[in-house]
Amino acid sequence: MASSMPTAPGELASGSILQRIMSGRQENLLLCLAISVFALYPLVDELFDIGRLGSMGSIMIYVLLAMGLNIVVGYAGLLDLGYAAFFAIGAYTMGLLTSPKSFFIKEGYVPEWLQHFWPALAVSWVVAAIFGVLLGAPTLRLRGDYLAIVTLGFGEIVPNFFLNAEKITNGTLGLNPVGKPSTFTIFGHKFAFAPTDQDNWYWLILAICVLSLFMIRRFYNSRLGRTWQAVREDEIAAASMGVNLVRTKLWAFALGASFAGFAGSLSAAYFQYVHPANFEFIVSITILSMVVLGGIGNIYGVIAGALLIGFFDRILTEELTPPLNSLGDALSIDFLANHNLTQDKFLIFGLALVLTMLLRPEGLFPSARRKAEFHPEEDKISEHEQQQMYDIREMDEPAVGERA
Amino acid sequence: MARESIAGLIAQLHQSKITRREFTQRAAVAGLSAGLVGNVLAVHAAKAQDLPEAATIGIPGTPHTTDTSKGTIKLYSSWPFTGAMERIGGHAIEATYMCLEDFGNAAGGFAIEYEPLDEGIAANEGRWDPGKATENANRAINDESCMAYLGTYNSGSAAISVPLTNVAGLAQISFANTYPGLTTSFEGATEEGEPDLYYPTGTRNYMRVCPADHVQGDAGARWAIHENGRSKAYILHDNSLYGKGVANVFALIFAQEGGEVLGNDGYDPRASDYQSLMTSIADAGPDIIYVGATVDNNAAKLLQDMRGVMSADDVTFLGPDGLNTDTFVQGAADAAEGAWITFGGFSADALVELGGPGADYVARIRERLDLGETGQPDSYAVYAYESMVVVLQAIERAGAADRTAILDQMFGTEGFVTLAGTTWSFNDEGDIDNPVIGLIRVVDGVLTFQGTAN
Repeated sequence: MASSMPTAPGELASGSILQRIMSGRQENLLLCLAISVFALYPLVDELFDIGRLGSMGSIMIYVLLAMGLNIVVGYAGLLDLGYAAFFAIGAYTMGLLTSPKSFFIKEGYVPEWLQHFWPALAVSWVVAAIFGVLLGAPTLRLRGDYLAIVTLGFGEIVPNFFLNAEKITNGTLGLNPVGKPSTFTIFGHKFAFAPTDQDNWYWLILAICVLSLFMIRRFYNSRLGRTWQAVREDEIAAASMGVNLVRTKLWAFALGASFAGFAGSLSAAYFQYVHPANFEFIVSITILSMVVLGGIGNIYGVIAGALLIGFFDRILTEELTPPLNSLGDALSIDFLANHNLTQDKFLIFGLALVLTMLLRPEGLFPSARRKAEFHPEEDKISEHEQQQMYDIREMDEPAVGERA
Repeated sequence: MARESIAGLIAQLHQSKITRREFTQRAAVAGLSAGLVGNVLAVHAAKAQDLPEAATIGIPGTPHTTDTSKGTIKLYSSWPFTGAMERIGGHAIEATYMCLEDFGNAAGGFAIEYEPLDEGIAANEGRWDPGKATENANRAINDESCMAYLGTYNSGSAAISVPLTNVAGLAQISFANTYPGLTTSFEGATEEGEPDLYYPTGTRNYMRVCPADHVQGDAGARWAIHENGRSKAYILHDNSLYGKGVANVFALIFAQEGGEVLGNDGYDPRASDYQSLMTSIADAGPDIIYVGATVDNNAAKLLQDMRGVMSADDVTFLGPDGLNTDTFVQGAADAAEGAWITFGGFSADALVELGGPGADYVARIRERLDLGETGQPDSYAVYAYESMVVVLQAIERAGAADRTAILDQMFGTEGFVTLAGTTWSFNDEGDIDNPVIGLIRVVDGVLTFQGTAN
């Protein structure tokens, strides 16, 4: 039968490569399309007078955070409950390097060239990564619950440190204002970054998100990315195969933290405000919810999770209230006519998480590997693969008496 | 039938002795022209709109019309009202709506539309978020029909939104921001560069109708020394901008007035108990403990553990308005007995006792919030009502949908009569010039108004 004919190894390999190239191209094409749609949003917002650009900027910062946490939790399988600590470190690095209220600036410890947004952004990325390593180092021998507790502790210590070290961090007063990018011109378009220039801020945050996405994808597809997955699946097996556990885990912590540093420094400059209350435990949990809801391990799923939760939290309930009230008026139902859906935010948020975990525990858009773990019954080996395995076994097995 | 006096008819109409229909018929008989009848009825309609007694506050003699022929003016408010902030924020919104309805949803010839914007997010347990603060302010700024921005609740949030509304020339009025640095400079309580850094244009556009922390801390310290006869204070705060700010001012004034400050420390709001902390404080021998905190920062437990080692007869407990809530009294239970609290203004019960507009306000807000006859509306909701009155009367006086004109009118508010009957004007910095600090004590488990502390 033609269908059961074994395929020549070369043919299979070339077909697979072609398939990969095609699938890679499709992915890139879809990605470019999605980025274009997001890039055009400010124009759509202005055209239809939507007025949600500010929310979209905040949501994109959450996307950045979720992508970073996905490296630690999704790729390397290290449960991190203190991720907001790195967000805080990024924000305070930006604040301490650029705010006129900064202790280091007042004392003249920061060189003038460093007191600007762009160099401070790069420094905050590095500083967060260094703190990622500092946290990662003592946790190398810990797994699961124990690791979670240590990261949780770190997440509590950092905001409290910023709160109590008031001579350096300004304590309860926070840092305000914070440095922002200076105005520049590209193709005749002037990009200014006053708080009212929401479109420019949005594009800046989007550009950093895209850059981060590109970097994270490259990391994931590199040797380092594969070692992360190996460690996540089975540490002992990975170590037996020569994977350096220490280096792999530390890279995961450092790179995961570094993107939180990006997000922190961006948010500090965008909101012109840094305060310890904005980095509490609930922030870590919300970012983790985004990762879990979207689909651990799949960067696009994680982005979808962040967009979904952010969109719901900041936009949807407010936008749905007027139509709900109109419906109530039309149906003469007082409760609907006067109800403000914003007040149900918590109920809906909780229900959505519980239902997702019950009905789709792997998240909305999980990675193929994660999906297979949750649904082993669907993990079918194709007939082709069976045939190939059979053929190989047939070829390798010596005929009876051959050895003799 | 002898012709009735026209003046008498108008008086009867205004005293509601006759209806509009009767007035029209009898005025026609009396020979009053149709045009004049129309004018008289319009004035009467305007006065009729002022019927709720609470709405008679503000600048005396400010006219009020329900005409909406000039179009629509939009007002936005921005503060959190979900999750942890549901009660405080929700009550303030209800008071704002009530005020608007009392004024017939109109002012200065415009229909007034009001939209409350939530400044909290679920990702922060409903508390305010810098992103939402920025977004809400920009939303108001970019809406050309918006003539004033009400809010915020948190001072940190105002530090973000005030520079934005300032550049846009939009008036902003807060019912609850108490951080001094937003409007003024006060040694020991504000930062270098404040408040100018919040006003990039150099022109003030922000005002608040509640007393700032330094006023409350100051009044509390003077009362503790001169009225309560205390001389050795131990000061604690919850490490928040508000708690620490008010505690620092208390410490400063207490020392200035000749008292001894034994300590001024932050406490951990998430600690399970404070027994060892209170034991060490008791060893220092204070006769008053001042706690700068809000109720959600474990202040009730702090008071309970304090009373475990220090009796109410020996050591006074004094706190700021962040503790002026039933939740605090219920949380501390018996330990709350005898505790003193300062508050910028009058409690709901005090307003009821005073009668007049304040009593009317309390009765109707209780009804709207379904609190029963003795329930306590949030104490800041009074200020939410009053700040809306400031805005509506400014629109009335400006008579035009012009941000600058309305800002000037709001800033120029003089002789404003409050729900409690006190009077204030805005000073050049946007603060009220006659802040009243009320003194409340827990008596038989009830927050009882004792008078004023300043």
